[in-house]
Formats: sequence, C-alpha cells, structure tokens
Amino acid sequence: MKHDQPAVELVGLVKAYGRGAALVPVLDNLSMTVRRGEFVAIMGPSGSGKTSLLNLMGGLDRPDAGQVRIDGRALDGMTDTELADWRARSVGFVFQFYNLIPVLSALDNVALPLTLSCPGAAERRARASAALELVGLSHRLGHRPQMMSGGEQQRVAIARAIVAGPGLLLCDEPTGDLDRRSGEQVLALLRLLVQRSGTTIVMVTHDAHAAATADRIVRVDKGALAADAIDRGLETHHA
Amino acid sequence: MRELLALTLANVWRWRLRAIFTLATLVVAFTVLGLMLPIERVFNMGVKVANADRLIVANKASLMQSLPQRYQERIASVPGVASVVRYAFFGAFYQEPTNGVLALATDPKEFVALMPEMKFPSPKELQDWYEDPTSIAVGRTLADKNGWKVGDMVPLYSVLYPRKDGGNSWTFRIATIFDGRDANSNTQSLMLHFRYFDDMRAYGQGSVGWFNVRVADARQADAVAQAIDTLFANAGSATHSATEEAFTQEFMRQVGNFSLMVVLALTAVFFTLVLVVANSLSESVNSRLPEFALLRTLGFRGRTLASLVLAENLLLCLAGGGAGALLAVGAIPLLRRYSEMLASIGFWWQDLAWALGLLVAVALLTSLAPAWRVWRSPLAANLGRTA
Repeated sequence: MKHDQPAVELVGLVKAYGRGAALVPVLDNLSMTVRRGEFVAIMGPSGSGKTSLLNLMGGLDRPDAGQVRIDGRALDGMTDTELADWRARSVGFVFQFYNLIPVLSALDNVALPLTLSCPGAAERRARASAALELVGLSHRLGHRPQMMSGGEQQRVAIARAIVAGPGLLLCDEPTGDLDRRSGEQVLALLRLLVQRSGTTIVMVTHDAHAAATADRIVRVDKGALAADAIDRGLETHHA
Repeated sequence: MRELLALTLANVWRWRLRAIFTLATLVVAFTVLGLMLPIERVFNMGVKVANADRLIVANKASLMQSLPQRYQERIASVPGVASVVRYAFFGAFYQEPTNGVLALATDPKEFVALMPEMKFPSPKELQDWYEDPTSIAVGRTLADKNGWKVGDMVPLYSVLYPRKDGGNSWTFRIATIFDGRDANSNTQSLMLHFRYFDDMRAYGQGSVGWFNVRVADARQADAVAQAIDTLFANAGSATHSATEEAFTQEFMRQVGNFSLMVVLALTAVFFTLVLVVANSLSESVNSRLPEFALLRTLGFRGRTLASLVLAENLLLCLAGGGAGALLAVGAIPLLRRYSEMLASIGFWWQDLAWALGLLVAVALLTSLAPAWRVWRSPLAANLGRTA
C-alpha cells in the first residue's frame, strides 16, 4: 500500500569527511524524498555518496548541513539516545555482509532487536520465529551464521531488520555478496515486504538487475542527484 | 534479556585460548592473594596477641643464649614488676624430625596466671597438670594436628636436651588441652614442668631461656624494662628487655618485613593483572567493534553496550578470580597440616571480601577504556569494518 505522505525527506544535505586539505566532500546539497510504501533503489559509482546517504537516513551519522526528516520528524535535533530509541522502533538495516552475530543462533540474532521493546522472552521467540518463517528459514532457527549459506544469512539479516515492524528498511548492497539465485530470493523478499506490509525500502546497489526490482531508481554522482532518476510506474520524484 | 545474557556468555568464551590464558592469570593471581593474606596474618599474629603489660627478658647476646635462673628473684625485686615466669626452649619433635613441636618448659601455675588469653577446659584437668610433673598441657592446634587427646602418653625427642639417664626421648602424659580465648591466640605449643625438666636434663641446670615479666602498670613497661637491663648491665649475662609486642616486632624484622613484602607482592600482582586483563579485553572489543556498531544500529544505546562490556569482563574476572580464591581456601588446610610455621593459618571471610573487592576493581579499571570506545566511537565508521 502506497501513500502520498513522504516517509523520508532529505533537504540540502552536505557531508564531508576529513579536515583541511584532506577534506573529502561526499554529499553536496542533496535533496530527495521517498514516499511511504515506496521501494527506491539508489545507484551510483563507488564513492558517489550512496552509503553516506543511507547512513544519514538511518541516523547513523549526522550531516554537516541540511536536514533529514523521517515520517515528518527531524533527526538532527535528536540526541544519541533519542536516535538509538528511534532506530529501535522505526528503522531496520540490511547490510552487504549480513553483520550477524556469529556466536548467536539465527533465532537469537533475530530476537536481539526485540530485547529493547518486548519484555517477554516467549513472545520474543515467537515473533523471531515468525520473522524467520516469513523469510523461509523456519528450519534454521538453531543454526549459527557460519552454518548457513550467504543467501540464508542475508535472509536472517532481513528477518532481524523487520522483526520489530519498522516502517523504513535501509539496505546497503543487500545482494552484493550473493550469487544470482540467492540475490533474486532476497530481492523477491524485499518486494514482498513492500507489497504485504507497506514497508518503505531504500536500497543502495551497484547492480542494475537488483535496482530494476525497485519502484524507482535514483542515481547519485559526486554527492548529488544525477538527472536520470527513473520512475518505474510511478511519477518521478526527486527535488 | 536472555539473548543479551547468551551474547555475554558466548563472548566471554569466544576466543578460547585468550580466555584460558586470562583465566589462568586470574586463577594464579587470586590463589596467591588468597594465601598471602592468611600467611601475613599468621606472621603478625604474635604482634597482635602481644600484651602491653608483659615483658620478655632475654640474653642480650641472643635469644639462643641462656640466662641464670637466679636472675628471677632479682627481676622480681625491681619496682613495678608484678610477677616473673621462667621459660626454656625444649627443642623437640614428635615421631619424625620433620614434625617439630614447639615445647616450652615453664612453671604451670605461674604460666596460667600470666596467660589469661589461654582457656583451660576444667579446674580438674588443670589441677592434674599442676600435680604431675611428668604431665604436659598442650595447645589445641598442636593436639589436633597430631591427633592427641587427654591421657595420651606422648614421646618427644629433644634435639637440645638428653636426659640424665641417657637418651633424648622424653615421654609425657597429656593432662589438659588448652584453647585460645579468641582466634588470634596461639595454641601451637605445649608446656612442660620446668622443675621436672631441669632435674632430668643432662646439662644446663640452673639456666633458663628467658623470663616473662608482668608489670603492675603497662604505662611503666618501658621504664621497668630499662631498669631490669640496667640491673644486669655489668653482670655475666647482660639482658635485653622489651614488651612482648616490641620483642615480636624485633623478631619479625629479623625475618623480614612480611607485611611490606605482602603489600608489594599484591601491588605487583594487581598491576600485572590490570595489564593482562586490559590487553585481553581491548583486543577482544577491538575485534568486535563492527558488532557493537551493528547493535547500535538495532537501537541499543551506547551505555547499554558499555554495560555489556563491563558485564563480560566482570564475569571473566569473577570466574578466574573466584576459582583462584577457592583454590587458596582449599590449600589452607594443607598448609596447616604440612607446614609447622603455618599451623595456625586459617580462612577468614574478610579475605574473600578483599578478593571480591579487588576483582571488581580490576574489572572496572580494565573495562573503562574499551567500554568508552564502544560507547563513543563513530557508529558509521565502525559499521563499515564488516566481518
């Protein structure tokens, strides 16, 4: 289900790393909007600022200038603690290399975010089991990450990202470390989340095939939006 | 919180070799600590039980040199002296030369009057000891160590004094077994009748090892000691008099300042521990910075993660240090059994409290930098260091 209200609003974002002569500009007055329930792919060459953009959307980093608003709420005024609480409730992350905790089972990995919001151990296990079932891994509950394939690990990571029911899912090259077949499974899963629960997804990718799964493709180059944003069936939407 | 507990436990044991080495360091350190404290107490026990109103009068040349018995009356005549008791070191062992026994010859009634810190079980047993010159009074620790009980005939071999009738073996009957009035009381010795000993020994009649003097007023103890030494300054055997406490401290100084050695050793142990544990924890946390960053992306607060680091370290310290402290507690009875010098060594709960306090201090101190790093380090940068 799609809505007209913006889920993500980025206004005039500026971000640079380093200092003085070593200052490297990453984002240069970038503005864009992602609507609720939209699946947006961000493409661009290495170093174009895609991951930095995603980090700013997720409150993992702060812009040097500009504003990030998620569901109408500005992140720049939040303290670190408020940001942490907001992330726990509102946003899920999927990374290229899965970032699972190797000493925990799939079930415990998925249940981790729920320790912040769900006091009952039995309920946490039930919800984590349900999330793993949704990604087709109900037979892998007790397995540790190293006992699973890359595709399975990424599906566990997706289960972990959605288990708390966030409205926004941020994916950084989720198929970058997977073979074609596993990558397609992951993309189908992301598509399913958008259709079934109206989750807003922003996915950074190098892969044109993966980007084609999204509703809209936004190209970033040298820290700014490129002119060739592609809308697949929806109106073009970039500032 | 089951998942966080599972995570903490799993992380403690994640790099097993590192964990084993750190645990081994903690075990050794806290075994040493757990033994040093009771040993230090044994060494200082003499000082603590020493009474300020009692003097020891010994030969100025050495404690091993005797004094004439006739000094007793002259000491008794010094103003301020309430009573004088003579002693001689019997120098004995029981059954095996390695099983030394601290046996002293003295006058029973005077000994009992002089030593109120010794508790005798019944007047009847005490009377029995007074009346039978071949009987002895044995301290509880010594009796327990050798399995002696009242009425037993105990053969002792004196390495110093053969009997007049030949041989170094002396047999005594145990008339009574005395206890200390508190935990500090020394009950590792036995007392035999001086008169009997003096009559029966092959040589040395008329000499004593030292005198124990009670002064009427403890505040005058130093003055009385000086008066006694002055009295014998030009005699054949000059004396050295001092309060029991001063005497014990002088003796301890000859052995070495054990308390200082303990403090220095524990300080070295503490800092070595801090370095070892801090290094281990820093490496462990450093290699898991991407995981901590991931937990922050999931919504965990920085201070929660810092608490996890502290909990992990505390768990490791308590496991290793606790095992070491328990090993020390287990070793104390063995020391008591096999070391004559440490026969009165005992376990005190306050030692465990010390160990626990030190463990928590080590855990806190070594967690500070890694916990701060986990709490405050840039989130996005650490997240990029994917495994």
